[in-house]
Amino acid sequence: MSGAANKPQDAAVLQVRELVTEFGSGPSARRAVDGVSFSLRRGEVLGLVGESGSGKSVTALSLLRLIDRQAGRVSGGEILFDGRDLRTAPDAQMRRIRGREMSMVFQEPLSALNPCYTVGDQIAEVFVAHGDGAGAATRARVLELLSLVRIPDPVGILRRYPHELSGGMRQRVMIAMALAYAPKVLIADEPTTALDVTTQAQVLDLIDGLRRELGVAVLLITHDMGVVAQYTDRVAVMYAGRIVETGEVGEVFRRPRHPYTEGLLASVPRLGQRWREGVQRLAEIPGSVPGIGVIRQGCRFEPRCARAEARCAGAVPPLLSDADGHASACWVTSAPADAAPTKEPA
Amino acid sequence: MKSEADILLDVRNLSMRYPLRRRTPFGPRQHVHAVNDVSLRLRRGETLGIVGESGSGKTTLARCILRLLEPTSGRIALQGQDITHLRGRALREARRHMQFVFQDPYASLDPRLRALELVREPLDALGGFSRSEADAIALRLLERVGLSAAQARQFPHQFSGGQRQRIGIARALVLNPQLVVADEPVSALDVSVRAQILNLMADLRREFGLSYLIISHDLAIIEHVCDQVAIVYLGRIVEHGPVEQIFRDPRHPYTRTLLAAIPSPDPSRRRRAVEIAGDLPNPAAPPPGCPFHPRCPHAQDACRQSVPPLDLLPGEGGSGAGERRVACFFAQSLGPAPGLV
Amino acid sequence: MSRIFRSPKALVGAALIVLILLAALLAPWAAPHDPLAIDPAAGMMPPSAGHWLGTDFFGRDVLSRMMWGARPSLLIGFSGVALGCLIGSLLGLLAGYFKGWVDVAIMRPIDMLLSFPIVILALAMVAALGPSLLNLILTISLLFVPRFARVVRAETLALREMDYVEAARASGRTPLAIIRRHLLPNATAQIIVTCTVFLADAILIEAGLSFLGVGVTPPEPSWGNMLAEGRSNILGAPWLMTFPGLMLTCTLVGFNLLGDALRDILDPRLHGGRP
Repeated sequence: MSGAANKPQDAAVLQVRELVTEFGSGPSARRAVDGVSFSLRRGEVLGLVGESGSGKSVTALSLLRLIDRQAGRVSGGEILFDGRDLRTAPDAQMRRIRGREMSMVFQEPLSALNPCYTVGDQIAEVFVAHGDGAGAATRARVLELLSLVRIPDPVGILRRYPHELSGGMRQRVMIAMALAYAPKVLIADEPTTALDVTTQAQVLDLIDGLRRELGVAVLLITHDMGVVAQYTDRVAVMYAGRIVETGEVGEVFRRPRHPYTEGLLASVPRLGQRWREGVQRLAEIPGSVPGIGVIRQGCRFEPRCARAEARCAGAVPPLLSDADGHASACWVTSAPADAAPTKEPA
Repeated sequence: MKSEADILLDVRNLSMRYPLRRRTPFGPRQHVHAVNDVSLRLRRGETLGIVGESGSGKTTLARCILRLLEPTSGRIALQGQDITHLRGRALREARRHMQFVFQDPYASLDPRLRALELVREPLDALGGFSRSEADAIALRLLERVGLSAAQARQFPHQFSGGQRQRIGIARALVLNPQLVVADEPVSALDVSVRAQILNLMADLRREFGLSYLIISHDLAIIEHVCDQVAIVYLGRIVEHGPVEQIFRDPRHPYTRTLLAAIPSPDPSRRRRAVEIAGDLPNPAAPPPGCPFHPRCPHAQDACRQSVPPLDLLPGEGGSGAGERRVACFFAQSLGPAPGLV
Repeated sequence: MSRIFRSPKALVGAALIVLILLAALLAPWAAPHDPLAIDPAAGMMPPSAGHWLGTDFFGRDVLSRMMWGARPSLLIGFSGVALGCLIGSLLGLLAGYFKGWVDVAIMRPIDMLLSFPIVILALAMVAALGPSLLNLILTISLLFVPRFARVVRAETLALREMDYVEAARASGRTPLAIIRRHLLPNATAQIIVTCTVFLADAILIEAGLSFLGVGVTPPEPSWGNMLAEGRSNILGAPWLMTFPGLMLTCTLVGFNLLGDALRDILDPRLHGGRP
């Protein structure tokens, strides 16, 4: 938690500590999320960035305890939300929280929306699920939501089916559903990966605008470094189930501490790189991303790391934070002078 | 002006349309014009990037050029030979010179064949090679793309996405083609692996003297690998020219919109929200006149009435490689592009 | 392969089938009595030490007849399905890959065949050709050619859209080579599963035909005709119907379980390797 500023908007609305999520059971259990900690402040956008197998989507599902359905278990850690630990909360309480105080927008709106029901019915369903009935009051709120997400012709849209809408519109509908009860936290899991570039910009701008308007905290999950750079306030980089670096986004991009973050940033092609900066070859990270649950003694990134030393394979480096809240988990690059071993970086 | 003999691929007025199912047997039959009057040329050793979003027709264009589809009208010439309507054996012969790299590394490799067999397939199909000759060639290429002889005996499911894409690239090169068409070659790969494949493709191009036609929605990738770029919207090319020029000074409103929409991985250059109006139109019912006019901030009456031709930008001569073409009546008069790269 | 041993469903199914196959194969040596031997004095006896499953109206041993009766049922079932699979799969592959007029030319007659109710078609075939073993096999295969064609065509339609098929075309392969090298191997899993399920159906159909008197005719035993004979005596001599019926049921259950398990085992593994 930040020690310096104690302004109300700095208060953390969600705090995750040492979250562990496993698939399978007994000796063959595999950890998709292995000791993840972060906090989310009111009104901020935290980017959770990683590639396949990093555990970012599993983390999101774990927060809402949606992971149970996929033969997984949130088996350790704490999810502190509004004074409660969601990991151990009773099911009835979770159901009240989902869609009401914490909601989620998924990657593929076509499969997240039921093709058999109209858009209007599906948005209304959120209200019905939380006990508010389907009458005229609900209809009015549905229309309000649709104009909040800037859908043209909200009345006409009510009677349309999902497949009749474009990808961008469907995603707006999903956002409308997620914001029905003005939640404190919105989790957006790769919300624009399936959309075109121009539509992506519209949807992300919308999310950004809404969080300023409504004060919602957003956990934005993505693999796109451009999206992170443009739309987040802070970023947490995940690799193989753990967070390897976290901090204010400008700081992390300017001075990445973890070799993985460094490598990732260097390998992403940027517009203008070639003809302005004369970069002929992109920097590569050799090897490939490890599969879920490959058990390693030491740092997960060590096999691919150009800076790996002997000690890296021996033990998992802790996430160490400096005074400004920029933290990284690396034996080699985290200078000992910075070591303020907090479990939750600010 | 470079000689005509240098031209590897010459596409003229290519169109490809699909009929749509009619509601009644008596109504007018509607078509989707996936590719609409596209012309482009590629010289030996050049790389051309085709950029567009979904519904732009870029994938259909690639498949037509490779004759995996037969175009409705227009002409495709490869090394001077007209391949537009070739079939059967003649087409298979022509295929030696142009190969395809697919987007999906998981679907593009037959799961029941080993890597060596997969790469060897074009040689087997062509005939004239003994098994050991073909194996040797395939093995050499696999090693060139970074896979070992031991790995050559493995099955696709034993490889990662990046490795599978390498197999796909090796397969595309085994017949020593002049032209390689790659459809979103790295979009399905993890971000940290993309650089490996892009670097590999750049290296191979130099080594084998290849020409590439690369299709992508990602402008940054195109800029990195290609010399020329063509921007496609609703089946038409709206801007075409050298990569550097187009990205520095885009002259078509759609190109500007695209460039403005791309999130740049640089937090210090935060783009203020640019109003990009509307959605991509339905390809089956394109707007009259210029296809972009409903979303264009500069649209005028002329834009609604007729389709602007893809013309040379005045002031830039026909200097061959430096040609700039734009399909906009007002390309000249647009001011400098707002807040760009 | 190893996964078969890990699936309880598959093991039970396979066990049942193996048991019945053994009974059929070893019948000439293992059957306690001659299935055709008539012994009027010992007619209609309930299960006893001498006749474990009782005797029928003519004094013939039920157990021996059941073991011998497995032979035509299994033979006709397997042969009919094998033949139907060969022809039907080929037609399905061609129709699914080429589509267009080839598809129409193949599938319309197939549809016509499918529209005949099974029993009627079978009766007609037998009436026309006579009830010999070969004709029964032909009848069964005729019933299954269209069913295989349908299934394989559907599978082919899905497979031909895969990128690797297009890659083969781009490599210059002829259509027949593509079918042989890419479509057939990848469709094999589905074909095997379908065979297993259809085997159960085929055996049931043969039993039905024998029951009606147009399949295997007495005195040759077949489960079907044993069921027919036992029908009129179901209250007085329940063992006559019960045991053949049970055996038939076990056989069908065995094939269905195995087919089900194979479907689970083969499907996700082949269409993936996806993370």
